[in-house]
Amino acid sequence: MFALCDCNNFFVSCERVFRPDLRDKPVVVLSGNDGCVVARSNEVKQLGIKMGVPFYQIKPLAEKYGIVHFSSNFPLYGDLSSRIMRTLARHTPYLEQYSIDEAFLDLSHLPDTSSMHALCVRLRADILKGIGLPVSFGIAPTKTLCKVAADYAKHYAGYRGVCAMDTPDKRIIALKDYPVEDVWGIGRRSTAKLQAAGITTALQFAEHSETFARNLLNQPGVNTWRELNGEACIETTDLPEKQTITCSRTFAHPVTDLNLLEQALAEFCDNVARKLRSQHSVCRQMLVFVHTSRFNDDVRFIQQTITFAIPTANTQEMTAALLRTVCGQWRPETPYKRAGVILMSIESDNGVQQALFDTRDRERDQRLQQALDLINNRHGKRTVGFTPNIPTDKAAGLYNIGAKSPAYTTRLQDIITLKC
Amino acid sequence: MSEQLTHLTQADQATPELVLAEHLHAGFPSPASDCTERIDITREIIHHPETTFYARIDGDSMRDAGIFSGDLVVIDRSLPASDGDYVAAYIDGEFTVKEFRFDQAGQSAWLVPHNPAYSPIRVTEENAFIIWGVITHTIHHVRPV
Repeated sequence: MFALCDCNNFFVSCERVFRPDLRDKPVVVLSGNDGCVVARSNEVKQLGIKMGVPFYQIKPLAEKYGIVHFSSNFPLYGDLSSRIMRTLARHTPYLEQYSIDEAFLDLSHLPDTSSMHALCVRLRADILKGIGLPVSFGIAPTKTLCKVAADYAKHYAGYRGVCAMDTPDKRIIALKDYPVEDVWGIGRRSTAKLQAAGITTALQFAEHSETFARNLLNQPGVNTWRELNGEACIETTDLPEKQTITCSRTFAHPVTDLNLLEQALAEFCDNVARKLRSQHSVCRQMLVFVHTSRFNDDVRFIQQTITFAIPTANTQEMTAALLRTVCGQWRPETPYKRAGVILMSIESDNGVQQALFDTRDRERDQRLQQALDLINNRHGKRTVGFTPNIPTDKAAGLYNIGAKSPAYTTRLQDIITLKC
Repeated sequence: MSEQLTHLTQADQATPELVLAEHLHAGFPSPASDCTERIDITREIIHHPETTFYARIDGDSMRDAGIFSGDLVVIDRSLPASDGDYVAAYIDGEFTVKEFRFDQAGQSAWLVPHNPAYSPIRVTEENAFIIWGVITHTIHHVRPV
């Protein structure tokens, strides 16, 4: 048996921990500079505001109902997420974190469902009190069913945040009203195929034969079908690994200054290279793009794929290649509005092929990189690096961070103040 | 000071250790090389890293309890607030620190300052009131950092 722990309106709930005054107020969290809604409080959901809508489209509604908005504050969300994960990890021999706000717990070590239920009730109370975040639990024999159960736990107050789907009867009742497009692993294309076959609920799908599922949806669909029927077969670690790593932003104001653009790109490069190293990977290809506003007729592009003869994760090497490319194609007086770096052809850093005529001293590069990582890990992300040095007030204008809350838990300058 | 806290907040994470490469020294090996035990203050202060938060004090209403303006306080949210605990409370739109008094017989709650210039606050149903966490330690610098 598994349990899924799922945080309710996670980003919004994180903001509310340090803003108790917003407890019953409508709150949204927006994506970086794009300004799309990425998290909604229940009050906002009730107003019919959908996930992903651009904030400017709902601005009149926001003013009318006093919706409070925040820019995403990932240091805060990441820290609170890790607190939840560590709390959960103490109670299961196997914790599988699935996303920033979801994790599967293997509960097979517990003797029966009632003790599983009791554990989840306790964990829910501990997390609500100790960290300040509301979570829901779904208990079921498979992860796909856990998702369904957690959905019920979240949306029906009667469950008090914990729903156990432990008998075939309960499973059938739950799946009967569950839209098939909401089932974990059923995407848009599968939904269309299922609907064409007259299937609208999860139960209708589960009651068809395995052959039917295979013919309609291939292997991933069969796994989902089995899971809906209570046979555990999905390991989240089997899910396809990320094939690309991306860092991109829209600037608050068009950037015409080459130095400023270089600074932004060097920072993106540093971000993606660090991610690459942290998962012990290297990349063979890097795509860099810079373009003007999409809302103008005359969109100007810089876009190029850089290929490394020897796969790398070295910030210095990658930044140098990237800046060379961009400098060569940059045009003055062009109002660049968006830029980004995408790493591709990602592979493990084990057994990287050496090249005969390699001009770089890779061992030295690696030692330098390790030293820099050590310093930056200890003293803050951007203590030393290869970024061109731009006065901070100039660089600060690059992005809108107006509505971002303080890094309450990760920066000493940002901790809350207690009036005394 | 900011560096101190970086270490505090990261106490539960694996901090990279600077390891001396002993084999580089050709001389007599240190007889103390196996003694790696050390005092870790954060371990003494933080018992529940997942539920521990920090805050800065602003004001002098708890002066006589030894909590001064500018002090850093350690808050453990997992602890139940008992009568006599110093708590981080949220009342009527503001975070504050006071002693929490709960009168079982009268079923009334009080937030009590430790400075004669301030009066106790009786918490009633009308107040927007929550106990955010229990203060477990204060960190007070006796010398400028």
